[in-house]
Amino acid sequence: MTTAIVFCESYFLHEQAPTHPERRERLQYTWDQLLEEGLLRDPRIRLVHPYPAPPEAVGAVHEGSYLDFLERASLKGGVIDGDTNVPPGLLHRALLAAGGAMAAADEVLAGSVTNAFAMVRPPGHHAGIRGGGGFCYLNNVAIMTRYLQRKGMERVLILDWDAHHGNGTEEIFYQDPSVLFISIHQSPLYPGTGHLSSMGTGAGKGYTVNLPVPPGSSDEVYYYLMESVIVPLAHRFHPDVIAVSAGQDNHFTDPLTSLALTASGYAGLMARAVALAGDLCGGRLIAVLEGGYSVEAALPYTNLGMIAAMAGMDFSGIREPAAYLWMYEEASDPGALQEVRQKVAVLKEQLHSKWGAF
Amino acid sequence: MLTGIDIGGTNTDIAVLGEEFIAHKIPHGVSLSQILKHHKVSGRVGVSTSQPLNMLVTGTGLRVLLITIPGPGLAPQGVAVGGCIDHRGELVEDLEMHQVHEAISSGNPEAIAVCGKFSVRNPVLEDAVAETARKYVSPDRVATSHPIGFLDFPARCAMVKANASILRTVLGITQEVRQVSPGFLYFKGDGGLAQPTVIHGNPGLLLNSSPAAVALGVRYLTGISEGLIIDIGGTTTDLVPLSGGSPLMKTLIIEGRDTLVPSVASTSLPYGGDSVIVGNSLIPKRQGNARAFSGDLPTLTDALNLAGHRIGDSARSSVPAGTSAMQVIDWYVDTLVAMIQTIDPEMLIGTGFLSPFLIPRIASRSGVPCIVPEHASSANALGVAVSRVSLSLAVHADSEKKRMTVNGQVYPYPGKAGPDLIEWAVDETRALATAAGASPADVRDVELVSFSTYDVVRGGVRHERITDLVVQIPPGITSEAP
Ligand SMILES: [Zn+2]
Repeated sequence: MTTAIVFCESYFLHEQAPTHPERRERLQYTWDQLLEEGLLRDPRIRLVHPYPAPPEAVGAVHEGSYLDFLERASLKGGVIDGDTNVPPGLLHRALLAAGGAMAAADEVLAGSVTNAFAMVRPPGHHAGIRGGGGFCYLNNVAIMTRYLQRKGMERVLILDWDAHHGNGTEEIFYQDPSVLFISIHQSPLYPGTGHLSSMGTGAGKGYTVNLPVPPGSSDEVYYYLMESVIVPLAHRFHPDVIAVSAGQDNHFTDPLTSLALTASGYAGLMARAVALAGDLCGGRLIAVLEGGYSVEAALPYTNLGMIAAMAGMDFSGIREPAAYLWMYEEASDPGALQEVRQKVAVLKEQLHSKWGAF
Repeated sequence: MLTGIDIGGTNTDIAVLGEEFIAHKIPHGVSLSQILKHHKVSGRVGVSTSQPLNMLVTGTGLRVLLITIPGPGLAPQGVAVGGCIDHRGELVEDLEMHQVHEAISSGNPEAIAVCGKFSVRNPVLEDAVAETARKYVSPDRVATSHPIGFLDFPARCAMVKANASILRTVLGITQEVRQVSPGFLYFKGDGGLAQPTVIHGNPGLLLNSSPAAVALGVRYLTGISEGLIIDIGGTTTDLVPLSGGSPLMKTLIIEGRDTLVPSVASTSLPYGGDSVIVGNSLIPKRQGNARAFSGDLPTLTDALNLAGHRIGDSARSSVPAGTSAMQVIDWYVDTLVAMIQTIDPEMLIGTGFLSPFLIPRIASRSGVPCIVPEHASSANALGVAVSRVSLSLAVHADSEKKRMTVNGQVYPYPGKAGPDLIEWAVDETRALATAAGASPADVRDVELVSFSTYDVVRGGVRHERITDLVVQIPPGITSEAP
């Protein structure tokens, strides 16, 4: 298997404010780790440079009036919400992130790689049709999804495992049966959406699947959801390509969330998604980075684990250094799995009319 | 006065450039200290010794144990022991020293190479392993990877293994040359000169330096900027393309593994003047000198004598019964021409002792114009003589940890961060180059190769800064060259 990594040094440069959690350090230590591992020289890896997303690709997702606002605010600065401002020069950097996801799609469509990881900033999954928020401006994964569809990939499965609900992505595809959107996210947590009962509307009913999980959920919860919900639904939906909103703020050291996924869990989760893509759609899978704020203890290892799993490398040695393990004991809650099992039982009943028994 | 000494596989060449140009060629078998006694060297002395080292890396079968401290990450190479330095240079897992003892006891190595992940940010674990290793094998058989100085653990693994196998030889050469020239400099594979103390940390920098030497020598002798150098030696013939006045750079590959160390690009044909004749062709093997230089077996050099040249003691030359000397020469020329055609150069520049006898023939067969410059047989040693001190400093400074490493070595933290650190690094580069003997004109231009700096934020507060930068004085011809 070969894996494209879309990255360029411009992805370091976006900055809302020097102390904002969504800052350069998020990728800097990961980049150091990838360099030290010699990963970018591995024949299974291809480094790809992004391009700015063209207006028609962005316009296929976001309303013109919002894009006009971003353009204006990018000149002198502006504010979207309490966590998200528009620093001068933002639009170009946001377009480069969306274009990074498109560049990842290009590689997979051309067959030059099996799968691809767009290691982009700023993230996108909270950006909806008419506005941004939650550190997001343009919905990278949605822009890429529409682009893939224009290129002939009719059915797209979006798997969003960022710790926060991908409310922007949900809104964009809520009525659309060509996109199956599945989100695993901590509840309660920002943005407060993503209830089990939100399942899409109109023709899109049953094509939005929300899997809220309680604080303390660890690897076993994610593996369970993969096995009991995501894999069977994916087999019924039969996508042409799988897109992953690969947030990494569910790590047990993340300062903004209360989940307990490990680096090994990320690799394992991605390995399952890669296997699923292999079974259903010729291995076509594109991961797009979303959140993740544990810059030192998590991101170098979670990003490495994801890439290793995508490229079919041995990831058995990927884990957090011992100095951080005490935090796992505090973050994880073994009771979370039982709670999630009960929710899944309810969900299966609700989805029965659309997807049958699974 | 500039002196270049090129210790080759078959000869040692000396070039002295002062009021006039003097060149000596000393055959194999004469020890370095004898040579240095007889040929008084003076002025700035540069020494290149790539070929004997190249052979050590590929040929000796020395049992080198690679001990790695991989920490969390991709599947490790070598024998892995527990312990971890992270991307910030923090010790985040203690060293499992008992595993080091076990690895060495069960491996029974002759040399030990140590490579820890992120050792260039903090060498403490590598140093601890090396200290233990020196209790099992001689200190000149132990090498650590942090002086290699850049991030890329697999590349450092490849380089440090080579370093462990050649360190003893390099230390020996240093000792011999220092007796007559205490301030001598080594000539590196990238074409620059460096102090022995730098080389002892990373002796692999000396590997594959012939192409760099010949490229500098040719540039100095001819000023030609576009063409293909054909350097005919005793055991090999090396093709070195020149473009825009400089050789092409690539990275040094050791036993199929990329070390990422800059090195001049060349293609090598395993035949030269000492290659043994079998039938009407050559075998890629040297078994002593040509008969014309008191060897036993007939070689390409002897074939040239039978074709009418007068090289060495030409009366001794002969070829085996049934062999046509002309056909041997044609076979060599045709083999070379086939390679030249794939490169399609504008011009051929011949160097090496046999080039006057072979290059015109190669030129007419390939249809490419050629020159053989005066002093062509000393181009390598001359290239070493006219080279200049080159060095690069890769600085990583972490103002929160109050820690700085320069080329993987711990430096006292200078209390500077961000752009202020550039000025410090430029001054330090100049000071180091000057201490190595570089002239003021050669240290005038220090290039900033890369620079990045960013805030470290913890708990929503801007704590400190991390700064990475690389400055260098690139290789080239010294302003002192007449
Ligand atoms: Zn998030």
